Amino acid sequence: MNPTTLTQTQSQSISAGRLLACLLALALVISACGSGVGDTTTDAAALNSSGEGAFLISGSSTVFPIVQLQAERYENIAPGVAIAVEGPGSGDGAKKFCAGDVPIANASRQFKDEEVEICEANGITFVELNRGIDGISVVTSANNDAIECVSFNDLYALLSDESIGFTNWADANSLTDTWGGQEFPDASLDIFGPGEESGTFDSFNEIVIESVAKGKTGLDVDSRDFAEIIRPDYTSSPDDNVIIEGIASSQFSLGWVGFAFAQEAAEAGKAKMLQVAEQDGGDCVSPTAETIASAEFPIARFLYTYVNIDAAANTPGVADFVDYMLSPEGLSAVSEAGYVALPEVDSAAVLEAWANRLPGRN
Amino acid sequence: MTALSPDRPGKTRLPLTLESLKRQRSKDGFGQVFQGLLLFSVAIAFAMVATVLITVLIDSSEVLRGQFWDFLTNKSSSDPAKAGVAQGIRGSLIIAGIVTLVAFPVGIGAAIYLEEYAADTPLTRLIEVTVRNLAGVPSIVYGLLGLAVFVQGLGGITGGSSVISAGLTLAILVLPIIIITASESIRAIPSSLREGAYGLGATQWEVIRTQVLPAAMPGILTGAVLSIARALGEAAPLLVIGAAAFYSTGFQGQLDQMQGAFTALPMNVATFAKLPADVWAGHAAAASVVVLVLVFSINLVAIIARARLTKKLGR
Repeated sequence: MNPTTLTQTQSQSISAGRLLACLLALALVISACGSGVGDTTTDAAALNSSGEGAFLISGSSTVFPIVQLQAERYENIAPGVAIAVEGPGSGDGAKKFCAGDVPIANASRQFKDEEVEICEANGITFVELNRGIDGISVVTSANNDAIECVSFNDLYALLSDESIGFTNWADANSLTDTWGGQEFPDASLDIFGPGEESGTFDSFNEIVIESVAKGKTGLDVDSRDFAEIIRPDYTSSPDDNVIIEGIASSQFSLGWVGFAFAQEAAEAGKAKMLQVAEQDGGDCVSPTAETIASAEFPIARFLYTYVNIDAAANTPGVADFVDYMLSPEGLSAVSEAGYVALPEVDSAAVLEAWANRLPGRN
Repeated sequence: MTALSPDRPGKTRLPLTLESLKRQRSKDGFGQVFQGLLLFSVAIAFAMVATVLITVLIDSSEVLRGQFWDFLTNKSSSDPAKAGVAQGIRGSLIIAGIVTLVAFPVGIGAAIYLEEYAADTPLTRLIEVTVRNLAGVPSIVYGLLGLAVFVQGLGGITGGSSVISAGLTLAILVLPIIIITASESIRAIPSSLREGAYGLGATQWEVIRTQVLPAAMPGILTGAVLSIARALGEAAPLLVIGAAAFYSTGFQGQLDQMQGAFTALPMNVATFAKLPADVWAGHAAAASVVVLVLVFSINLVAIIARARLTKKLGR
């Protein structure tokens, strides 16, 4: 081989290698810059650094905004503690929590019996902390002036498993007629709501559909069987934005989402929150922070956080962060995130449950 | 064009001029319809890309103009005015680094072996077909693989749901693409080049190092760099691996941070998109713009690298 060609080709392969190295170096340098930048917000006001620690909080996407806000602010108090928050859903969070993967899990409903059993099987004891109240708003499009108020029985007639195939509001009259309920107009019925993986689905089902099926709203449940589950044939999405877009897209839409989200959508003119009456002919109540807190608005649920008692003792930072979440400053995040804070009596009870590490569901 | 005449011997034809060719073409009705259809396809493709770019730019303009620097340097926050994508940029760049470190050498090495060393046996062909099929496997499946292997199996090393797990998973995701493009580039090298070198007494390693690789490098690099762009845009595997929606880093050292909670730009887009649209709509679009700029610049690097290497080779 001619020596000059050899050096030439060598220089080619070297320059290719060099280019690769440059690319790599560039990526690493920039990534190092990125990490430095990310830390700058932590040095705000180191009030009382509670040492260091790192843990993940999982669970309900409904509770996520509250805990995110608290974790964000906690950085100013304990800049050494690394907290990650995710919101895959109450069920997913419970699964991770009871497997011992996360020390704290949020839920927009109480842990179910089977979830508690898994926790027990894995030797995990927990404290249940009540975090606040969330109303579930029944929504329709902002242009729908045909409907103002619905009762639980109306919602059952429109949304229960007995209503499969109803594509017109008037279809539900076949059910409401049997108990003398509201007469619905002739208008196409387009339903949007969260899917089964969502705590909002569970809560709505439990509070509205199940209580109708159990006769709590005055229907004669002995005479025939009532369905205890929401109909499956509607457009479901885990993403509240998608639900709101659906609601806004059809004049006579019907759906249900968390109060915080519905309120924002109503302010933006995309949705209208319907008044709800628990009983046929009862008082129609609009969802507001006040009516939800006073339990006048009938579709409301508690939000929960579950803390692993062993992890609180052994994982640095966990117990301190829970203390912060229940402190007055921490609690202010509840209403800022759009939810309703607990009455003071209940807050005190929660503090006590936490202080005594009271195990199990309440 | 002159080559047309000898194709049809025995026929007397008009001398081929541009005019006569055009006249011929105008008679070809089917060809014209077909050309129209093709043009239509191009128009649709272009319109789609343009729509995406324009919508994203319009939606993001408020955020990018109002808080451009904050958006790039702040981490995620519940306050729309303070929220940024610094953590996502960091995550994406580390992922790109890990993909470069892991997938480049392994992918290019595998391609060299398959093309230069492996005998043409049924086993080799089976491997080649498998690699090609792997390139078509949906990314979410790689996410499940990453969850089982890197997050759960090797959790002690990777730290579980960490940027290391994400980087390794995406490295495996792009591996088939790198192997295929590198193989194609190596296969395209004329065998006369190898034979010449062998004739001069070079060993197989010398032939590969001094002849095959330098000649194939433009193609190999292009494929490899484009695969990084692919890795940067993936969100589905990251969802499965468990990118965090919000995290703080505390006083963790660099290694702890690498093994701890992470996010990446596509995850930022997904997270922003789920927040109430009226206050947050611009953020998802703005994060998309950041991803696009990053991917475009990487593609640009690939184009420049290719042009420079090709020019040096005098081809």
